[in-house]
Amino acid sequence: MIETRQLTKSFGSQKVLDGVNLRIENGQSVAIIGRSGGGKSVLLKHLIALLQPDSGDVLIDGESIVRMNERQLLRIREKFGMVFQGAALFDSMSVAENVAFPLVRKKKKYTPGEIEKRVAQALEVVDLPGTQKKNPAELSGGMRKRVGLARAIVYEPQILLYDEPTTGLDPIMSDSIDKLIIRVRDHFKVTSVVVTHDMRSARRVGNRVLMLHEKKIYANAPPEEFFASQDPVVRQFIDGVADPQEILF
Amino acid sequence: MKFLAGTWVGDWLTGLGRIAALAREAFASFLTLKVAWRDLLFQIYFIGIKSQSVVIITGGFTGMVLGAQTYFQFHKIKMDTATLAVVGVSMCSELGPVLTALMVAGRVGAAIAAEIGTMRVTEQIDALRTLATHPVDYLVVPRLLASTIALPLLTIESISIGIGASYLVGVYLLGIDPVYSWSNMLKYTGNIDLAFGLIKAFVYGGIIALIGCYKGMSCGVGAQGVGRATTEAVVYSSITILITNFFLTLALQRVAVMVL
Repeated sequence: MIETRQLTKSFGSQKVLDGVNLRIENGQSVAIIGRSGGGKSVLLKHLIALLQPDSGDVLIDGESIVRMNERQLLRIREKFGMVFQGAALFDSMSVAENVAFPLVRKKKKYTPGEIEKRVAQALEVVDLPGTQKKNPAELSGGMRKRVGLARAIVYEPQILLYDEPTTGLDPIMSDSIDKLIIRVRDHFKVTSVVVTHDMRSARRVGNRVLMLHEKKIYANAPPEEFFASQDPVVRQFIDGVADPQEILF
Repeated sequence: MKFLAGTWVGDWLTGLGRIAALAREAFASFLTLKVAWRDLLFQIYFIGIKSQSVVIITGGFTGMVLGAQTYFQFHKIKMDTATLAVVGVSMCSELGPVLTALMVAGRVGAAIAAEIGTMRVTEQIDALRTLATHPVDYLVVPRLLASTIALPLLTIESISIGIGASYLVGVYLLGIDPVYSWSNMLKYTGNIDLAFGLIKAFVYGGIIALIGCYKGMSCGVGAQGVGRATTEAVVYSSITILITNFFLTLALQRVAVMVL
């Protein structure tokens, strides 16, 4: 279970999160939406302690991770897999080496044959079989994200975090990534947290939709209820209507 | 100490403290003996083998010009055959380690900072952390070990080439007696001079890798951040090597007097 309590974070004088409370049960799939620069990725990075809050707490399975040092966090992070916005593949390695990386670094030792088999399986799950020898530079944006997902699922984590998985992709590729997230969620029974501002994606991948607005969780509801909401702030975001006062000429 | 916050002195002290913390973390990681041997070998190859041309040219031409200048001065007082002795002592204890370190700082320190800095801005370091890998274990320790292993070896190479080049210039170009020169060099250049040079090279290897890694891991955003980190890695490593050299020379001399 993932829980945040009164999470507050500022960068310099700019406050990004102000008392964020959320609770995600095991096996749940949550989409976090909100405006660009609204703190969605910052919130996501707090869940895996890539960022430390100014105040408040983050609990993973009831254990506070806020005051842990980097070495203590290694144990907690073994529960997580994360797909980054830019995929964050290691560009000095091939696709196979990227996907095999977590297995090679794990305490549990895998034989080269086991690693090869698991890498092939993970690449098959993300519809990229036979790409082991390619370099990340040879891949398109969508393929890179799928390799990033293969790397995140190869060691079968309990929790998967997605940072804007469909940003910058064409609608067909976005659809394929959404289906992949759903397939991985159902296949591995993982807890998924997807940060996105793609409304179609939020509707499909989440059992619940959380909207971050004005540095707080503004709305928290199942997708059907959320997308039927008549709240003006929620409605404006869903319909993608700009505030006239914000349009500058 | 709050009055120092935001001043260059405060920033400098903060940076120094962070480098010390990085060194401590790297040492603790090394003690666990979980070094990625493949990465270590690659780094030794990158720092040692790939620096050959730089080290050979630096050692060779430094030895040649030092030999020639020493000869021009000593010739006035008829001490031609002491030329190689001066070159030997200078190359072993000062010029060999310092010039090699400065050249390697320019090549390797910059490369380390640029590579790790790029990894930072493209979230590859965050990816390492999410994959339950400590960046110090994976990025810093192999580079630090490789640098402290490779730099003494490169220094020995630079010293040997410098003395050899000086010998060739002295004997074949300037007409110094080869037997007396060689004998004087062996007489006045002690093992202690070579030991000084190797200890210095070991320390400079650590400085280059630590500052390069620190600058890379703390670099700012975007291409500008990486560029600045790279420049600062080279400048700070070079300055630190020159300042450390002075104090290290005094300290080693004191130790040598006490021990010998």
